[in-house]
Formats: sequence, C-alpha cells, structure tokens
Amino acid sequence: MTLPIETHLLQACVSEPVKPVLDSVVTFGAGHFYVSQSDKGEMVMGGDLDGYNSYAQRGNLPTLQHVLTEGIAMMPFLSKLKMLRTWGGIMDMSMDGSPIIDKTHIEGLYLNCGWCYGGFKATPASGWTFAHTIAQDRVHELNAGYSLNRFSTGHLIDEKGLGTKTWIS
Amino acid sequence: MSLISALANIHTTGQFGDHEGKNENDLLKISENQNLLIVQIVQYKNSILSFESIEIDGLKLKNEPLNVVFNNDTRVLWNGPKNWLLVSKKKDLLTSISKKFIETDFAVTDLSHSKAIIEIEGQEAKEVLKKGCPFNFNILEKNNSINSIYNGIALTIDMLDDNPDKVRLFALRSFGESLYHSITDASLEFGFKSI
Amino acid sequence: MLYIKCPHCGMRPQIEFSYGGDASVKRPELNKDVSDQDWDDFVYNRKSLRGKHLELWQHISGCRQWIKVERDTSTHEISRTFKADEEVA
Ligand SMILES: Cc1cc2nc3c(=O)[nH]c(=O)nc-3n(C[C@H](O)[C@H](O)[C@H](O)COP(=O)(O)OP(=O)(O)OC[C@H]3O[C@@H](n4cnc5c(N)ncnc54)[C@H](O)[C@@H]3O)c2cc1C
Ligand SMILES: [Zn+2]
Repeated sequence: MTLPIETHLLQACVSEPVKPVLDSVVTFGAGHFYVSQSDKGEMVMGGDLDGYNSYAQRGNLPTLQHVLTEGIAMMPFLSKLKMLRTWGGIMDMSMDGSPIIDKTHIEGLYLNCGWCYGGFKATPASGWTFAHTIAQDRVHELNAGYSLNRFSTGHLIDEKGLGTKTWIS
Repeated sequence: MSLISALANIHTTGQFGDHEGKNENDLLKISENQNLLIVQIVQYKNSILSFESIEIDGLKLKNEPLNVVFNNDTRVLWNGPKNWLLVSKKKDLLTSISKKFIETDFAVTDLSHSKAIIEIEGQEAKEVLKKGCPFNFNILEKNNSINSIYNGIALTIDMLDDNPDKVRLFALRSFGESLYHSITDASLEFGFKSI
Repeated sequence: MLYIKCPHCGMRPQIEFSYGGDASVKRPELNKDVSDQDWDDFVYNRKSLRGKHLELWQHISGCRQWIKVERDTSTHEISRTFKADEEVA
C-alpha cells in the first residue's frame, strides 16, 4: 500500500538545567519553535523538520541553528545556555498535516498514522477513536474526517492551511 | 541618475575591534563600493544563439562555474548556467549591453540600484567569510566568484585579489544593513579599519 | 551539514539548497485523460523509501537550478547528483 505520507526527521534539544524561568510552554508563531522547562530545570526546545526524507534518527546542525535562532529572537537569554543533548526522531508526515485514522481496503487492517509533529498530545482521542473503529469495524463521527481517501476525493483537512508538502513549513 | 548609497548612515569610518597596537597597514579594511553598473544577463533556455560571439567591453562571456572574465573596469561573474552578472565602473555600458544581447534571446536586467556592496581587504578576509558561510573558501582563487549564503543572507562573492585577499560582496540592498553588521561583527576579533 | 555536489557549481553546503521531494514522481501526461488514481499518485502518494532515494533539490542560493540527488535516507550519504534533465540509469 502506498500512502500519502513521507518519512521525515525532526530534532529536539535540551539545555543544561537552570533555575525556574518558564512555567508554561511558549511557541513562536511567526516561525516554528517551542520551549518549555522540565522539572529538572532543563529548557526543552524544538521546531522545524530538517526538511528532507530521512529514516536516520539523527539530524544536522543547520536546522537546529535555524530553530534556536527563532528561540533567541524571542528569549535572548537562551543564547547563554549550553546544550546538554540533541536528538532526532522520524516523523510520518501526511500530505495535509493531519493524521489518518481509518479502515483500509484490506479486511482487518486499520490505520492510525500520519501524526506529523503532534502524536503525543493527541494520544487519548486517537486511541479512543481508533479502538472504536477496530471494535465496530466502522469509523466514529470524530474520526470520520481523518479518512485515507480524503486525498483522492479532495476533502483535505485544513487545520493548519498546509498544502501537499507539509515538510516545507 | 545618481545612486543613493545602500549603506548610507550605516557604514562609519574609523578603527574598530582588536586594532590597538597593530600596524594600521596590516589591518583588515572594510569599505562600501558605490556607483557601479550591475547588470544581470540571462540567455533563455530555448535560445540557440552563440553567446561566445558577443563582445562587451572587450570581454566574452564564459559559461563556466566560478569563472570571472575581467578587465580593469568590468568583471563578468558566472551566476549559473547561461546566467551572468556584469559589474562595471563604466556606467554607460548599459546601452550597448541592451543592444548586443537582443531581447528575443536574452533577459537583461539593470540591478545597479538594488545591491549593497561591501569590500573586504586583508589577510583575514577569508576567515571573516568562513565565520558565516560554510563554503570551502580555501578553494576560492583570485578571479573566482560564487553565490552563497552568509548568516542566512544570500550573497555573491567576487574574489578580486589574493595578495592580500580582497573580496567584494553583493547582497540585496534591503539585506545590506544586516550583512554589514554580520561582516563587521565577524571582523572585530581581527580589528579592522573602516574606510 | 550535508554537502551536495551541484552538477553545475560543484560541492556546496546544504543551506544553499532547498528540498523538492521525490524525483521519481512523474506528472500524468498533458492533454490526456487522467484517472483519479493517477492524479492521486502524482500529488499525494509517495513511496517514501528507506535507502537510496532519488530526489529533487534546488540550488536556490547558488545557480538557482533544480537538480536530482541520489541520497540514502537511512545514512544521508549522497551517492550521485544529476542535472534536472539528465536521465538516471
Ligand atoms: C523530536 C520529536 C519531538 C516531538 N515532540 C512532540 C510534541 O511535543 N508533542 C506531540 O504531541 N508530539 C510530538 N512528537 C510526535 C510524536 O512523537 C509522534 O507523533 C508519536 O510518537 C507517534 O506515535 P505513533 O504510535 O503513531 O508512532 P511511533 O511512536 O513512531 O510508533 C511506531 C512503532 O512502530 C514500530 N515499527 C516500525 N516498523 C515496524 C515493523 N516493520 N514491525 C514492527 N514494528 C514496527 C516502531 O519501532 C515504533 O515503536 C515529537 C516527535 C519527535 C521525533
Ligand atoms: Zn548550482
């Protein structure tokens, strides 16, 4: 089965621990950057994909530099922090930036994928609707829109206004 | 029409950075270039005309990476396949360029007003470039040019001389101020003379 | 940093380029009937290979040409590069 999905690479990074400075998640909307502070005091940061297909689970520095530039534009004190570690994971980037939770044309095969950047936070709703889809062999109204055939029928989900190349933005 | 300098009110003369106790003649020199004719010449993909048969200010175009053809007044930089940037002190060349590169086969665009030009001269000129641009400058020789990116700013680099190194940087006029600050920041550790 | 050998300019850093995706994807022929499936395959469906991947890049801050790059998606190793109109054997 060929899916409307490309595998890409996303990095995140963590600074050395510092005293409490940030008690919520802050994102940089004009670009793509987020930061929060862990209980241990580390600043956890991330943002854009590296931007090319990859299964390598490791990234390159230009993207990290670009992402952190956005962070420093917003919070200049970040420039003084030392980086503790960085890592990269793989991203199932769907073509409209939204996931697919659906049955397939193969009996007994169900799809829950294409989560792009946001598969953690969506876990409860994704699990619940997926369980419903499997148990009843039909989609729930909450995931009806996240169908596999929405690409061929033109019913793309415009949650973020992304086109067919979500990895560009 | 006279040009308004792209770096007016930004470029200030003097000595900056780690210049104390150093021989003034050995310091990096940073200056702004003004009043140059800058013309982009592009041959259309479907054109079969021989660009080699056209002569401009005694120079013939060469479709070869890094290549700069030049004389005392004019330099023609390779920008890409059948795409050149002509830079000249002779501002009246424009008329003959437009005549010789006929519009059915070439796109000729006067970019003289849309570029900021910074010149760096001195032993550490390439070191300054290395700080913001990952191109391997060890292979860039006298009369070579490249297009690249410096701290995120797209630019053209023309290597005018190698004794000592002398480079001319072209950026979009609107990026001129950012590029100027990037370059002068990177030059502080060597100390520089702004002229 | 990836280093990509532009077939026009030579070895250049990745940040001079922008990515254009799978180069093996072909647009359905012009002025012919196109089935929904063909269009779907052209616009959305991707093989997303692990291993050797032929892809488009544009040397946007260099010579501005589109080129084809053969790169391993599991190691990032670049084996060959081609001009846009060059056939890949
Ligand atoms: C750096 C980074 C930061 C992120 N930050 C956030 C965030 O802040 N908020 C958020 O909501 N999301 C975030 N995400 C996204 C989130 O991690 C993913 O969307 C989510 O983990 C996807 O869950 P999944 O179960 O669909 O897939 P995965 O967690 O990728 O699970 C797929 C599993 O399938 C296994 N597998 C693969 N192939 C085979 C095979 N052939 N046979 C058997 N098993 C196989 C894999 O080993 C893996 O265990 C981030 C991702 C990364 C990489
Ligand atoms: Zn190139």
